[in-house]
Amino acid sequence: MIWLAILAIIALAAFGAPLFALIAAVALIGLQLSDYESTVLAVEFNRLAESPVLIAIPLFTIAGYVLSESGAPKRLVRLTEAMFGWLHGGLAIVAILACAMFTAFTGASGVTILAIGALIYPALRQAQYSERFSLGLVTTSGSLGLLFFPAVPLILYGIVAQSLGTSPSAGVEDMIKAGALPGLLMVSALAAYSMYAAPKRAHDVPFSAAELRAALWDARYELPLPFIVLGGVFLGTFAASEAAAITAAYVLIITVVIRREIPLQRLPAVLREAMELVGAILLILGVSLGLTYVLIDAGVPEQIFGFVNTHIGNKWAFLLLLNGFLIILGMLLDIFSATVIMVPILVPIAISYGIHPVHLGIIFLANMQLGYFTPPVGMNLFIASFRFKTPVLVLTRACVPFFFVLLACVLLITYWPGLSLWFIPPSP
Amino acid sequence: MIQRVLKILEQIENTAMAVLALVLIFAAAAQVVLRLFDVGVVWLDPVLRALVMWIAMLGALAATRHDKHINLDALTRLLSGWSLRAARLLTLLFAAAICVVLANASYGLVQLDRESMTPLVNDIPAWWVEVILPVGFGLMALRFALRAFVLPAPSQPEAT
Amino acid sequence: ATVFKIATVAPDGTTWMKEMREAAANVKAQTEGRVEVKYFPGGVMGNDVAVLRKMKLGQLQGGAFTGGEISQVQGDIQIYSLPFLFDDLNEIAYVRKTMDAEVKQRLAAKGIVPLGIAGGGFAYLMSTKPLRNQHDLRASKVWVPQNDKIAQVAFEQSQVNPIPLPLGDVYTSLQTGLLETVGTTTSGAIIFQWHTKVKYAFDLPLTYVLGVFAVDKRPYDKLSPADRTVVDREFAQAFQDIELAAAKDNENAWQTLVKNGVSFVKPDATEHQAWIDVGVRTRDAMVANGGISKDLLDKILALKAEYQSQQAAKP
Ligand code: NA
Ligand code: NA
Repeated sequence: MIWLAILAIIALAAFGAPLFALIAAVALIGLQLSDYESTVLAVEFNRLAESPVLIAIPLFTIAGYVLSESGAPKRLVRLTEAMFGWLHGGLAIVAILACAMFTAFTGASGVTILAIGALIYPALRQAQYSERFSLGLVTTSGSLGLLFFPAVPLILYGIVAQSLGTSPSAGVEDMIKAGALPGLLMVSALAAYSMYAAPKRAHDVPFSAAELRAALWDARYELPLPFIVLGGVFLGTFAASEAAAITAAYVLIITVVIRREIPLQRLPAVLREAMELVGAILLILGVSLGLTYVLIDAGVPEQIFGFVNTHIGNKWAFLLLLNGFLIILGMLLDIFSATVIMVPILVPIAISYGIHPVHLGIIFLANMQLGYFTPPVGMNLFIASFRFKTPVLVLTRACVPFFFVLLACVLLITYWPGLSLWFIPPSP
Repeated sequence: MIQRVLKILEQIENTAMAVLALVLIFAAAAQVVLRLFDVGVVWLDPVLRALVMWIAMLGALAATRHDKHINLDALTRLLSGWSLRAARLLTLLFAAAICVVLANASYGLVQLDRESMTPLVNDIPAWWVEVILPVGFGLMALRFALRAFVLPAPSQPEAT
Repeated sequence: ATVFKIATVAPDGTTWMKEMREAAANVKAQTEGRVEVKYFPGGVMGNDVAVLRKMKLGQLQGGAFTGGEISQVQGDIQIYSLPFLFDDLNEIAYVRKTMDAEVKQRLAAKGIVPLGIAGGGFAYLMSTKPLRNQHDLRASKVWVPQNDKIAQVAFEQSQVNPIPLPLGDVYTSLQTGLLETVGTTTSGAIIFQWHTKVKYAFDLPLTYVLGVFAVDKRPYDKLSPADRTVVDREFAQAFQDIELAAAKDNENAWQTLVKNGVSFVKPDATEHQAWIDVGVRTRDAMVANGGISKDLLDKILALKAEYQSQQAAKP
């Protein structure tokens, strides 16, 4: 009977049933098995209203949507071009930097490819970068920046991990600090590869002080944003949720009131689109709180824990298996569902191997980033395929070298905990 | 006639969402500014968190309208014609059924908190906030059931 | 076997959890496996409101709460925590010897049986800024725990406009300067790592901190009288040990704080009186708003007076 139900759920998943319904169904089966009322699921779902950091998710999502609807992507590309365009492989580096920054604000929801990729792709082609390289770069860069605050997956990991009450703990602020260096590693590695792979006489942009000044002036309202967001948290002026509040209000004021790039009549539609994503994420988070409860109550994490501990001898073997598992998970599941379902199970196991939950978070997100352009689910492949009118298979091939560059980064991040824990004070 | 009513309902939903989003942004920003000036308002934080819950439910309801719920769509991309229809009918009716159960479960929560007079903050009862759960899931069930019989607009891989 | 699933925010490995686990093992052994106690530490079951909900639904059979948290069920459980009600721990011990039974009974009448009440010692105000008097306090950013009615009323009475935050956000907020002043026991300051941030402490016992371990009355009443006796005895013992350990922890923590450069400032006579007055006004306000029963308070004040006259009579 139980196997029948599980089979039915797998079939429904394959045919595209909403994930929240599938998670809820599994949780309900669990409740049925332990003879609990279904009200329990609502009690857990209601814990969404318990977490003070959660507010960061709608606020940053709104900020990201508003920014991508404004002229900010254009100004960001212009500015990075004026700053780095003159380097060898300069345009590729521009693509990487602009995508990373933009993804941090839009949470790798695929908007990056539409907003930035679409701007840069023609420029790359015009500068004689090969079609394959250009497509691969733009598709890959669409998820770059996932490790940078305020990317929503980073925040979500912090929220879920913190709710577990482990020691050492991993809060949102820790994740923000931890993501910086590994994120920079990925950006630098891709930039280095691009410099190597760029055509010999890439027709890039000559440096112009006047253009740089103009670009800086053009982006004057957006320039304070990284400082509000990152400076606030790194210097300790703001908590993550507060940085979110200030960012959202600031972005709304500059785009709607000062620049007037989003007319007032258009604003509700932009807000609604942001809210749809927020609703989809939080719904999954809410029901998975229920699932996590069912699993904890039934002692499932302890059983998995025991199993893993008896079969995997040491930390390094565990990390190797973890990477393999996470890449597959990233291929099959979207980042939000993967986080809310797997993190409560993975964190205690990782801690038992002496892996800091903050480090685990960075490993987790870095692997998930690969999943964005790995078939069969890799969302960015489909978005790029739609945007650039290119078959998914061609795109997949184009992404191969970039995949290996990032895979090397993921391995380095995995086996060098210090990189992630650089700014994290040692736990007492 | 039904079309007109649905249209009006959607407009109410859109307006409610935009208003809640704006209130959330500016109330949250106000809280930061107040804190910097040393003023704490006891009820503001629970109210903000309640707003997040309402936005989540209304957002999820709107996501249902536009097929924006997160799912594994590798297989469905390959489907078309009757097989796509069948897959949608099956999966969306399943989602509707789950929403009915969730609506019922959250009605239980509202009852529970009404009986024990659980406060949100000060004298505001918690169930005033929670009432969005049964209402939201109920409407979502309805909408899933309706969408089960409708094919989405020509496929456009949009950013989720 | 009857299983009691118990939620607590205390992380595994703390003294509290060790004692609780020991009690559970003893209960299981002495009831020959008829009563089993299972813990969910680290707050995995959610905050106090969520835990109480789950107790009503029968998902959980008990939890560990602070006096403030459980006061949403019955206000009188928090009565020992009225600010400036007691001057020292001996006074409290004297009062509690007589009053505990009645206080527990009042909570049990609401369907929740407190198996143990443990005093966690006195809370002190600690700050990142110099803290000498009420004026300094008003000028700083003061934390108040969410849902702590008494603390909110007390701050109101001393014209402090506190900032309500959940416990988990306090450390970051001290770091970022969103908060400057917190109230906690000396060992609490170390457990939560706040001692690395605060520099000044006000040497005046603010309030008696209370931990309450309570279970749902329904499964508890279903136990056989003999098993119930075992449960009562073992947890009473555990709580006695916890209280002793807490007293020792607090003393050691005080030394650690001093070693870490935290300076404790004693209030002068006028200042001390001003605080006592705040305490009295808070008591009155809590009685007036129905948070605390007057008859219970009167009994406690009478016992306190009795203790003080006994002390005065001693040579
Ligand atoms: Na925070
Ligand atoms: Na959880």
